[in-house]
Amino acid sequence: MSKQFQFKLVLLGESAVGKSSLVLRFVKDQFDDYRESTIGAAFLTQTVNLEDGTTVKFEIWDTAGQERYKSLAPMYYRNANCAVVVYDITQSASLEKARNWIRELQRQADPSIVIALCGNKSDLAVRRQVSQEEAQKYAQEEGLMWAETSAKTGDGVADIFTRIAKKLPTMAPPASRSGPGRAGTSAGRTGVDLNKQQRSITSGDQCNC
Amino acid sequence: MAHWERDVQSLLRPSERLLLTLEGSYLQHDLEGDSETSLPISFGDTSLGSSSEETRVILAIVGHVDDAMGESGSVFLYTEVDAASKADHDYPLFLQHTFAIHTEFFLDISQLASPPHAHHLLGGSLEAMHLPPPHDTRFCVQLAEGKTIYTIVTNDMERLSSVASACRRLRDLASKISNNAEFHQWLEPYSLHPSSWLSVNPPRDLRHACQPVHSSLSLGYAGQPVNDTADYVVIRDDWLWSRSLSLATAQNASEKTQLRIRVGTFNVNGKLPTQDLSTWLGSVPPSSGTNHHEQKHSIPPLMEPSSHSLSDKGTGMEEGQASAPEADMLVVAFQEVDLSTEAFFNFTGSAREDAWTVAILAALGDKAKLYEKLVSKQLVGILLIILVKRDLQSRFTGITDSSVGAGFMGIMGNKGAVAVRVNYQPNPTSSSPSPLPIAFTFVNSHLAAFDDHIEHRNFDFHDITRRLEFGPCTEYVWAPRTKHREAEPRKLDIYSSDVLLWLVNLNYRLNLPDADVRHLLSSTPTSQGIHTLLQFDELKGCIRHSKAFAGFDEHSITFIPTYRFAANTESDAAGHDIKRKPAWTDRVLHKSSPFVPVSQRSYDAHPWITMSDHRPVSAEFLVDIPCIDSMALDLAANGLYKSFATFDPEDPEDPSGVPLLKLDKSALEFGKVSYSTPVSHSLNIRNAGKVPAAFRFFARDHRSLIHPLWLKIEPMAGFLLPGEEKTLQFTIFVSDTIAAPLNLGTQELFTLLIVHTLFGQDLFLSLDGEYVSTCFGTPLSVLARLPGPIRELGGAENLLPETQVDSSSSREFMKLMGWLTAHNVDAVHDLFIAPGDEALAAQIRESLDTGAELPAPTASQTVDANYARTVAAVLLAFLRSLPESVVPSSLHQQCAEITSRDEALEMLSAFPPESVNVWIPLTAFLHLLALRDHHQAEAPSERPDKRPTTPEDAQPPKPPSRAEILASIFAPVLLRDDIDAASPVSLLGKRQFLLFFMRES
Ligand SMILES: Nc1nc2c(ncn2[C@@H]2O[C@H](COP(=O)(O)OP(=O)(O)OP(=O)(O)O)[C@@H](O)[C@H]2O)c(=O)[nH]1
Ligand SMILES: [Mg+2]
Repeated sequence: MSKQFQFKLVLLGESAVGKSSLVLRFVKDQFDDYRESTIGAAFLTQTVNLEDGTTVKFEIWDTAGQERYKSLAPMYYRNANCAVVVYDITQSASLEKARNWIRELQRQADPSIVIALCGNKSDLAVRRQVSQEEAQKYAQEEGLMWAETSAKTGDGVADIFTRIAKKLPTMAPPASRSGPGRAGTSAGRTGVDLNKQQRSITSGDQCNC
Repeated sequence: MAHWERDVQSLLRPSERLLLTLEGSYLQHDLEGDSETSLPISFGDTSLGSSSEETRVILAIVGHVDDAMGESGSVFLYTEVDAASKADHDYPLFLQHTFAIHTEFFLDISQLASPPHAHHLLGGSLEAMHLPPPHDTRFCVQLAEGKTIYTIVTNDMERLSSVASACRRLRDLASKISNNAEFHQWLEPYSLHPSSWLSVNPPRDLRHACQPVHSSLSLGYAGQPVNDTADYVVIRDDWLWSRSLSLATAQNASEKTQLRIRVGTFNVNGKLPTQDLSTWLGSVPPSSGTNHHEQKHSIPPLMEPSSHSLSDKGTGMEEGQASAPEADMLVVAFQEVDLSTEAFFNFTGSAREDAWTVAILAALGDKAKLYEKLVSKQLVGILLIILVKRDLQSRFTGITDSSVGAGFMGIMGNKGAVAVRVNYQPNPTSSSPSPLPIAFTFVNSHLAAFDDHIEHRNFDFHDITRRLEFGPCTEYVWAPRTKHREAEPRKLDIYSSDVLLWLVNLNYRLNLPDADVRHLLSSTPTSQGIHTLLQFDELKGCIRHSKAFAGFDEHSITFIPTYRFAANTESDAAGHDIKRKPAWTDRVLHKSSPFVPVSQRSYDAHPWITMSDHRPVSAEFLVDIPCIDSMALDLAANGLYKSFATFDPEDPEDPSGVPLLKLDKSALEFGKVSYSTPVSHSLNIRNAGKVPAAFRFFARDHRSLIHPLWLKIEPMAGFLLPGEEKTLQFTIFVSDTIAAPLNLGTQELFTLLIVHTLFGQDLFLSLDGEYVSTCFGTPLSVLARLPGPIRELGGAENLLPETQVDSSSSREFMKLMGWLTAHNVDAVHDLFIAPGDEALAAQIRESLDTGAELPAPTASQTVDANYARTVAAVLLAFLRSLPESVVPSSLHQQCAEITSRDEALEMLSAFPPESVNVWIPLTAFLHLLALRDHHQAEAPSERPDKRPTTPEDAQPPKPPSRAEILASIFAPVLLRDDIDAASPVSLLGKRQFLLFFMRES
């Protein structure tokens, strides 16, 4: 039986850098030219199969990038095993914001968190404001993974998530379940328990034994 | 075979009877179309051996007896749920089909020869059936309805022939009936999923039915839902119940009936009945009861009626009317009916019960013949007797009872509870031929008397609640929810009812010193004393803090405490025994489902029934019996059930099956919000996905509230089908207790709310208001440090340093005080009593906050009395709004113990400066008012008596002096009462302290 892992991943970054687009590409291999800005936090899952037979299931929280919701971000990155901090290569200000997020994660998040810095919209290289060298240098200094992606064309998207998946199991123990509570016992009620009321967790808790 | 029978039985409604079952294996099911051609069935390639793959079937003959149409029957065909999917299934059997046994009913039996591949049909129809007996012969049974044909194989010949003859008998019965459709109408619910048979479930737990659903959900926080699975089921089921009930009720809104229930509770102290109980039982209206002693009472009343001023006062309830309407149901609770030692050991018979029953019937007089005893239950001294109108008796069914001992010597049952549960069957109507029964539970309890610890008394309540059980209740369907659970009728607790009435004799006390209690009860008007006292009632406190009787309602009490009265001991002015602090020990509480509204029409004590040391208490309830048709309810539930049954939120088959909710706004702007003025806004939440979705509000983390205290959200959780929309209402209300940080600008009316979609995303909602600061609700210590009007403060950092406040006091207070002292207002006799003019009050409040001049009086020269009243009312409201009492609560006890004016003056040095600066001008002004006394010619008594209510000096009730009236108004404001305090401070002591400053030395 192959090893299975489950990790909580959070996406952070300024509004409109393409966080939701990256998730949509990764999970459904789709792209929308006109996406609504996220007002909340969306939860999705996607599984990555590694060459050695290991499967890694990501529980992904895509957060709102707008400044007014900044105070809620910690609720979503707490207990996260990995964070993808996204900037837009055509907006140098967005890299500044990414640096702030990284500083905050280093201070507040789980110390073992794996952080990837991701320069999105690489298809718009003609309008580039952030050079690869600058971003890569910063990532090296801080010990982060780094990649450029395009949610639009799909370039680099699967790659960065796979790199994260590879890095995770070797250094972090599998996460305890943290996704929307599908586990646990349910309070049976008289009358109308129409569907099954509970289901024990299967895949998630299978450990690396 | 027995276990099949039990399983089948569990899947039948109580109105049906299982006549026979037959086990077989499932062979073939020809659907319409080619069925004609496939007859006779070819068994060629069907294995008939006992291979493990074959599906077992149960054929059941089910009978139903209808009053009007007699017996009818049906064949039910069940298949066994296969082992693999059993774990996921609610029921062990799956109902494949029902065949109504009417004249067209078709059942064909033929023999299958072994070996199975060579077969011949015996060609037998129902009539011509003579079967050869070889032992392992197998038979083939064919059932057809229209073009649907089922074929079953069995080797149980014996049962098969019984099945055949039962079918024949039922078919003969059917042939005598012309209207077949109606004859078999009872089959309809079996086309539904059994889970949607709400009508045969016990009523919903009242604790859940009465509460908003969000209070039953798991704890969960942003990004960390704890248990979406269970929460989803809770929210969905709540929706299913209430939606089905309202769908089924709405159709019959005009057909509601009412049930009038008269209840009484009486601790008789071991006495046998010696007095007329008619006023208590409502057969004689209490308006004549007030003069009762002049007419026919054998025992003269202990005191003049005037000391019970409330019973002859109109309480706004219907009891004052000339003839009280007759109750449909009389529920009479006694405690301590038997104090004998024998009784403690449960050795006594029913002599006491009989005596009290006779007394009840005697009290009913002429009307006694209208009633019949429905049920009674006794546990040592605790007795519950229920009488109903004779013509309604047959409507009460499913009567069960229960009793438990509790407290000291609990096993022997001197304390404890008895309870009765009964279903009321409403009258069938044309639109509701089978109305849903309404379940009533009545509890009579006597809780521990000797225990000093309120926790122990609360424990008794919870213990009794847990242990009272009814049943097993066979009138409900107890389908097994999982394969592990037995499908046997279960027991029900007291909360599985639609209406719960609790008659209780308990030893909860008044949390005030004895002298206070007696003084308040002897003051006039008594209603005010009662009102004040009730705030300190322990039972009310426990309900308020959900420590016992949580969620129960009690009508407001207008009678004096019902305990303790003793014939041969000294009593106070109100007639209470001077050795025992009076208390409301006899109470009537209730709780009812939102679909069965209950209104209480009276709540009285009966002071002329003096035979015990308690006074009896009565209450009358009107219950709106909803007309909910069982069939309509089940059909409605099934319709709703189908709308979500195929969707499994944990495992959507279609990846687009992720719940998706949208808010039509992501921000709510409230604009200006003023103190103590509610402002509401709403938005819509819509299910924009393809599957049903549930939502709830989340807190950020375990340290946070879901929403700030100044906000209310309604509802906090809900369920939406695809395309459905719901309005959420948001109300901001800034009350006294939470205004201070907003007034100072240290807090803002801003919050981010999190709407969690179960199994889906969180939505954020920002909510913003512009708070208009005010001096109301701001501590005096802060007001004293304001550099100018509060509206111009612009942040707490602009407050003056604390060292500067010693000489200053609240500018706002001084403005009002200044106006009052500058005008000759002492002639306005109802100053601080009359409310004044609300519009003017609003202008005055505004001027305090903006620093503007007080608005000009309407009649310019003379002092308008109304203006004065309004200024006084604003002053009082200002003092009331202060988050901390003017005199810090730590000093209250000391103040209340002071016995001289000099000591009182000394006490001022312990006050904070800002309090002294309020206290001195205010009491000086009150002193001036007291000098101008409108009630008494002479000046108020120089040496105030600290205990004015000892029996000796209580005799001629003098009208209170103006000083006393003002002290009773201001003491609870300046030395604010803490109704939840463990050791209460005397209210009288506080008044006395204030009076030292108001009276001439
Ligand atoms: N050309 C190009 N456009 C992109 C790419 N990724 C995202 N976009 C566009 O950028 C806009 C913003 O993308 P989103 O995914 O909504 O951005 P976000 O980071 O989720 O923004 P918030 O939800 O407001 O925090 C959308 O119009 C996308 O179509 C990309 O790789 N290339
Ligand atoms: Mg987004």
